[in-house]
Order: sequence, then structure tokens, then C-alpha cells
Amino acid sequence: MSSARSRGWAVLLLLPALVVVLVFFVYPVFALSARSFLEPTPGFSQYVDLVTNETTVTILVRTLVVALLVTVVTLLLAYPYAYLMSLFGPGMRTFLLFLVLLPFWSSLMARTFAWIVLLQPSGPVAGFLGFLGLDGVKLLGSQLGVTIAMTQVLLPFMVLPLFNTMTGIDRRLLSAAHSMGASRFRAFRTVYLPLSVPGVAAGSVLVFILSLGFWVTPRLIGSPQQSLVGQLIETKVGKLLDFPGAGAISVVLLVITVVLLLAVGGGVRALVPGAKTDGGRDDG
Amino acid sequence: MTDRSATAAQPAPTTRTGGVRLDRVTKRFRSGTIGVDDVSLTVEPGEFVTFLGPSGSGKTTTLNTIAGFAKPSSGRIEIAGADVTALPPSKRNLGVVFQNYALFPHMTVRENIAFGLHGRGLSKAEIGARIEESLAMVRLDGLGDRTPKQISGGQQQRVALARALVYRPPVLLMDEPLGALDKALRDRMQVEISRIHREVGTTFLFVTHDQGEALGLSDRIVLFDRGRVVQVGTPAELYERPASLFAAEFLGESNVFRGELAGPGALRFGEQTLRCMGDGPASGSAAVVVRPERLRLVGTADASGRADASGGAARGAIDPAARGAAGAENRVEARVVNIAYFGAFRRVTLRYADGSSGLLHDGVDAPAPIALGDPVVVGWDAEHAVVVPVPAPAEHAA
Repeated sequence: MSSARSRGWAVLLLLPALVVVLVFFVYPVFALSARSFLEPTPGFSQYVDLVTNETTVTILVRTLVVALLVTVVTLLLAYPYAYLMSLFGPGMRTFLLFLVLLPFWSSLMARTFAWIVLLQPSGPVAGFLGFLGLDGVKLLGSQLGVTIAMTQVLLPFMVLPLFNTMTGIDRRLLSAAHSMGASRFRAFRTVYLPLSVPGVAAGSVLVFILSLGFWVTPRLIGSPQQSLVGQLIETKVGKLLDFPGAGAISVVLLVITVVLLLAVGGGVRALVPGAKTDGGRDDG
Repeated sequence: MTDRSATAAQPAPTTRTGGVRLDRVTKRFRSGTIGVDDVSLTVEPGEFVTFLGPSGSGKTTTLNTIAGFAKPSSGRIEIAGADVTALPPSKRNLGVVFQNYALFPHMTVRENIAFGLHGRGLSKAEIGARIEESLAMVRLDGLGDRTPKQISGGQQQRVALARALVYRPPVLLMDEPLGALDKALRDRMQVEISRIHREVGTTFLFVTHDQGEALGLSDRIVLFDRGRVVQVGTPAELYERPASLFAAEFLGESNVFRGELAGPGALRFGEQTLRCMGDGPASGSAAVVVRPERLRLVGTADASGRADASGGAARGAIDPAARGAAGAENRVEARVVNIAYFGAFRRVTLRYADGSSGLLHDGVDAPAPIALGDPVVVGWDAEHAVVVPVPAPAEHAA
């Protein structure tokens, strides 16, 4: 009886957050989705338009490609970084963590403007590329610049899940592999890498989904000719007042996200049975 | 099962056993502390040798230098006759069983066992046969497709053993492998490990801080203290002839009588002279060590009574239970502090005149009727009394 009562209290504690989520997230998503199916006439006309409109499809595909590219680049940068973090002692580890979290201390807008300065044709990045003999690379107003800036912004979202998984991997498993004759490479490939897959999956999903919805960075650093889906939705809502059309694109993004989450989750479970909860860490 | 005959037809396996030689191995840590201090040791092929010592005594660090996980600061390590000092662990061809098994959680039992077989030029059929053979050896047939999380701690231990032995290394290293198991399982695994050692004939090096494991499993025990090897010998040698007070007190329980030596086999203890084994030092500070089961209750002393050091009759009644003990060469007065019944024996805690405490184990048939606080006389024969040097306090601190 007392447990039933305490459960009642728990629900009461959940209520404020639940109301916020329902009113400001679930309701708008449903309303917008509903309009995409109901206007101008009930049916799939918005989706037919979306698929047949070449520009929309191009932007969607471009967004997916950029998101994939950003995910791969952040993964390549973050994996060794997180690995080093997991190896160092507490002092160095805190310092490296501080460096990763530093971007969170300034607003996304401020950082994006900083990138505009850095990526200018006469800016330091262009200067460095020129020093390397790569003159005339267009950074500002190009896909390249957008990718660079998005990678920097999203790097922490890759580093943190990776680091979290890697600290849970028992280093003695590598010693065990070595003792059985495995080279460093084989021990990494057959033991460490598979056990780090849950972190790779979590970081990749996070970065990919955040990339899909990026709007400020491509808007300020990219060009209108190279716009991503966030800008397209903004145009439809802000300039054309095409709510059903914007809703249709949003639904497509949502479906892509959900399918991706399910696929990655299933993939990880199939690849690494029990690795997520265990990681071999049960030392006494 | 059909693969068994195929295995038998294979050419003889590579050496299944080999010795280990440590030559003046020292391991200094970066912090400056010395983990292993000038250890030299020879382990014969096929031997079961236990590294025994308290935590921090250097036994695990020594094992790690043999495995290659720690690089010795100086000294030389040979395995099966080859100098491996500069080789990484992967090139030493050793089997290693880790304290918490270190099984690969993302692999099945069979995949765990197969891991060490890859890259050794074995055919697929041979690998399959070896895995089944190993599973049978550790009595895990039928569990090959489980993951480590799906089997019990004792079974994980068996997988760790199978995994480390399947590629037939000449030497198997085990670091406190039974530490994580409960008492009953530990006893059962001890028997299993002994059986497997006899079956495979591989040299076993076993690290433990548990004296019971060391006594029960080993051909020889290497006793470690503060980075040094303090005694090497068979379990019986270490138990019955401890070379130091540390050895006597770490391995088993003891009655310790401290005094000055008055010649070979004679120690001045208070006003008495205790007679003991004559092969120790002949002068200086020393202690006589007597095991609890060698001590006998030879009489009760009244409050004014004195046990006669010359072996004559102590005043006070000789207890009927101690009739056979009439010839005890040494007699000392003590007071009964505690009596505990253990089923197989009775454990009597004593306090001697010099304030030190002692233990007496006696059989349960016709136990002498003693009570807490009783003054008693205990006795023992000289052949069961070992003299050990007592280090001067300053030397001990260094």
C-alpha cells in the first residue's frame, strides 16, 4: 500500500516535465505531422510533391551526405582522442575532458561567427592551406566550410560516449590477448574494437541525428545554393508559410532517425552480445 | 568425438613443459619503490610451484615479469631454456590465467578457447579437435556456445584454464585464480587444478596469498616477503622447518618463545632452558617455534606451582589425557585464555608467562577437562621445536 502511494508521489514528481514535453514537443510534432497528411486535401499529396520536387530531394540527399561525412570525420578524430583519455591518469584525463567540454561554454552562435572569421578567404585557415600549397580553396560559403564547423561543434558528442565505453573496457583483456600470442594489432581488432562498438554506435547516432537538424551553421557559413534541410524547413515555414510541406519534410527526417536508431541498436546487440552492460568490468 | 583419433594421429605437440629460471631479477617501479628485489629462482619442467606471500610482497610482480607484462629493471628470465627477458608477452608462448579470468565477454566459450590457437599454423580440423579436447579436460562439454556471462564463476575459471592450456604452452602462470570463488568451490577447483596439472604435465606457476592453497597444491612453495624470496621448499619443509619468524607466522600458526641461544639446540626462555632442533644458529637472539598440534597438555599447575625446566615432574596433577605425553622434553606454564571446539580438534588459546600468546590443538578423544583461566603446563619434544633467528629491530625496519 505504501509502495502504491509512493508510486503516486513519483508520478506527481514527473508531472511538470511531462506537461512541458507534451505541450511543447509531442503536440507540435503531431499537429505538424497531421497537417502534412490533411492539407490541402487528406492524403499523401505533400509527400508526392516532396518526392517529385527535384530541389527538395537534392537537399535531403545533400543533408544525409553531409551528416554522414561529419559523423565519419568526428569518429576518426574522436576515437584516438577518447582512447588516449581512457589511458591517462586522473589529472591528464580531467584536462582532456576540459578541452572537449570547452565549446559547451560558449554559445553555438558565437562559435559559428568565430568560424566565419577563421574561414574567411584572408583568414588563418585559408592562410595555412595556402602555406601547404592549397591556394584558392573556398571555405566560407561552401560545403567544406560547413563540414569543418559542424565537425568542431559536434566533436564532444562523439568523444563523450566513446570515452564512457572505453573506460569500461578491462585492459587485462588486452593483456590476456597478448599472452595468447596476439599482436597489438590483432588484440585491438579482435578485442578492443568490438568492445568499443557500443560507444561508436552511440556517438555516431548522436552526431548523425544532430547533423540532420543543423541550421545555424550551414545558414551562416554555407551558401543558399548549398542549403541543407534545416534551411529548407525554415524557408517553407518562415517565408512561404507552407506548414504542411515543412511538416512532410519533418516527418521524413523523423522516420529516418527512428529507423536509424532501431537499426544501430539491433546491430550492436548482434555484434557485441552483452558488451554494453558488461565490458568485462567486474574486477574485485 | 570422432576427431579424437585424428588428434592422436597428429605429429607430437610442441613441448608441453619447460622450466623457468630467474637470474637476479629486480623490478623498480617509477615511483622508486622496489617491487621485486634480486630474485633468483629455478623451476624445473613439470613442477607445480606456488608464489606465496602477503599482498605487496612481490609475488605478483615477479609473475608479471615472467609473463612479460612488467619489464624487469635488471636481471634475466629464461623460459624453457630460452632467454625471454626482452620479448613481449605475445612472443613468450605462455599460458596465463588472470585473477578475474579476463574472458572476452563478446565471444562464446568456444571462441575464447580458440583465440590462442589462431596464427599457429593449425588446420581447421585440428583447431576444432583441440577445442573439444580442452572443453572435455575442464569438464565443460556442451557449454561451448554460451557466453561468459551465461556461465557460473567456477565455470568461467575452467574456461580460463582451458583457454590458457589449449595451445600447449610449456608454462602456465596463474595469478590468484581462486580468489573470486567461494570456499566450497575453491576447494573443488584446487582438486581440479591438481588433476589437470597431472594430466597435461605443464609447469604451473601459481600465485596466492592463501597458505592453504599453497600447502595443498604445490610441489614447492616460494615464500615472498617485501620483494624478496625468503624461503623455498616443499610444503612440508616450509611448515615443519620455517627458516624465519616470518615464514613461521605466515604459514600456519605457531607458538613463539623468544630468548637467547645458549648453544646449539638450547634457548634461554626466562629462567628455563628450552631444548630444540640443533641445526639452527647457536648464539644470539632467537625464537623457538612450535606448531599448535605439536603442543600437548601435560598437566595443570596450581597457582604457586612451577613447571620444572629439567623435564622433571611438574607439581600439580598430571591429567589422564596427557599420560602419553609424560616424556615431553620441554614444559612451559601457561594460562588458558580461550577454548574453541572445531569438530576435528579443539583449539586452546594460551597466554605464557612472558605475556605472549600461543595455541594448542588437541584431539577430541578424552580431552583434558580444562576451563578458562586454568593454569596449565604444556609440553613438546625437541624435534618439533625449530629455532629461528629473531632480527634486531633496526634490521627489521630496513
